[in-house]
Amino acid sequence: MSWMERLRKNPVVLKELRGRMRGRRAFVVLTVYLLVLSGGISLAFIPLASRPMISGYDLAIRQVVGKGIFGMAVLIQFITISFIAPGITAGAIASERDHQTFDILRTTLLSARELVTGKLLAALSFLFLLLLAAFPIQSLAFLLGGVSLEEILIAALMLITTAVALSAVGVFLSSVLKRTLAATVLGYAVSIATIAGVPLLVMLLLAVASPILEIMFTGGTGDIGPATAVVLAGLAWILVSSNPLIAAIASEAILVDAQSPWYYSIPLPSSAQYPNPSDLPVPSPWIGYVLGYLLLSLLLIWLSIRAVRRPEV
Amino acid sequence: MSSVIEIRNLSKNYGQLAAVRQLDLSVEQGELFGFIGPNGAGKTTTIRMLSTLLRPSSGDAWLAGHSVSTDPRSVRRLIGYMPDFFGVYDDMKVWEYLDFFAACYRIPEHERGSLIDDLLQLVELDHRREDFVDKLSRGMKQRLSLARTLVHDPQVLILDEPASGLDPRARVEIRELLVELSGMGKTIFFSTQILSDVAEICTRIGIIEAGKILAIGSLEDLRMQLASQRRVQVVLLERAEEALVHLQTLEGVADARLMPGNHIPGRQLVEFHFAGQDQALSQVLGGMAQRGFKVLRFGESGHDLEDVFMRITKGQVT
Repeated sequence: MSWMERLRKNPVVLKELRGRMRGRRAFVVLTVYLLVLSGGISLAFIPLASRPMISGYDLAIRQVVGKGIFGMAVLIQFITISFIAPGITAGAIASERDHQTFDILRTTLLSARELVTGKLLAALSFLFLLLLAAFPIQSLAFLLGGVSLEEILIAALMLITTAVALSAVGVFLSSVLKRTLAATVLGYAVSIATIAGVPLLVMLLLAVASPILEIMFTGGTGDIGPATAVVLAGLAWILVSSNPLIAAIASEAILVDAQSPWYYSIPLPSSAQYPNPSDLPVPSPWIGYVLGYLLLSLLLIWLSIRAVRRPEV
Repeated sequence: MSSVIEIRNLSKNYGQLAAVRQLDLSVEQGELFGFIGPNGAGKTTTIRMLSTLLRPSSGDAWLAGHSVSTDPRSVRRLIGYMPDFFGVYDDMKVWEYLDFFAACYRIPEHERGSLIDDLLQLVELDHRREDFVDKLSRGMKQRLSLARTLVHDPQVLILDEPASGLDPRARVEIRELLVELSGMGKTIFFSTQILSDVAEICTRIGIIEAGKILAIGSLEDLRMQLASQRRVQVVLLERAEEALVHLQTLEGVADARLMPGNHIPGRQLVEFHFAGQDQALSQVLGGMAQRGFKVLRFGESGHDLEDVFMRITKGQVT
């Protein structure tokens, strides 16, 4: 059986989706989400609508509004995913324990890998449905212009990465912790920490550490060599890449300023050893975000499978 | 090897506590084996080890030659396991429940429809096919659970207290189903706390207490083991006190007494314990008839199954 065939035939995916899409819950979530999205985009429209006389040639303003709509849509999608992913994955394995179906499943031929990937894929299908459902509203931005193909693709990749990573975190917590409630609480904590906690922590750390760092790196002279600058730039890059919102904003800035979706160049300070250092090319932070979080997800999925497979002693 | 279940020296310790101690047991093809013991005797622990859910501390068990410790996957193919609780999924219909587990056993999609129909018919739930699982009664859930254990047509059924928590009618239904499945050639290993409910359907019984097997055998074997201690009841129409005095003089008779209570007027009940074989007991009856006692009924009451159980187990619980 091919990889795709195995996914399609995974009994857990079908079972989860049957449960998830049945009844009003999924319908209500989707409706509320689209209403919020429409509301947010209407707000972004206000600057355009409030201009009494707008000519078809006022391209600059239209493009700003177009970008605003697009940015607003991505932000709302991002927040929605951050709220829903932990909720729908926290119960993945823990609820099987709660319902006492875990033992029964373990005596069937269903493998630990199928159980974990099935739960993850079922959660992701719902999250991807939310992302796709937003597309018609989001595409209002394309009528106005100002949004490039690169921006759309980068935003989509980052949103998908966020969905995968938060789902993997949820499934992992669900397989390690015994109770759904504990997994839910911790899942939300991780989600909030990723969005808000990391930038806050970074700012605090920098505020406290900057005088110390300055003395450490410059020896009090106020000058740093290119080597130190490379290390600092690397650290800053990791911090920026670790947060989806900051990474997205930084990537956008690089796209606009440097006209490249891939990288930008930092001029390095010279020193006695390196009198003429060349510029340092740094990958756009979205690359770091996507690769870093996808790798983390793989690790978490692997750990989840191990936790599920482990026999009782 | 004709033993479908072969348990050798199986032990399970939880720290200091020995839940199962060096269990030896074999169950033949087609047997309906009842595993009986009080709460905490080690029944569920044994069943969980047989079902590959729990790793034995020492010893091993084989199902059709496959070790539960080293070849659990082959064992899972062979067994249908039913825990002592019913695992319910919210938002799932009866047929979907079976369909999901059939898929877990790699039953191809095109075969599942007719399989589910057959299973629902077997457990008499075909009229509830489209109902949600959590709306079923306890007895129906238990029957559905039993149907679930059968989706992959396993050779062996391992059932943990299949009749617990059911009303009398549902118990009878489960019991009849077990007999039917046994008739289909399945080897059934099930546990219960209550001997009388199921003992008559078992080919053999194993009594476990405090992690140890106390007795194994058919119900008749167990009765014979206890034959030296059987209790006899005699119903007389008159002269009960005189009969009592007579009985007390006989060899093998102990603890004879006149039973009070609201018996039918004109009848009196004498009970005694008898240590001896059938021949000797028959002579007791003959002697009473010779002496002109009007015996209305003469029979063993000590064969009450709960009594057997109570005598074999000592009431100690781990």
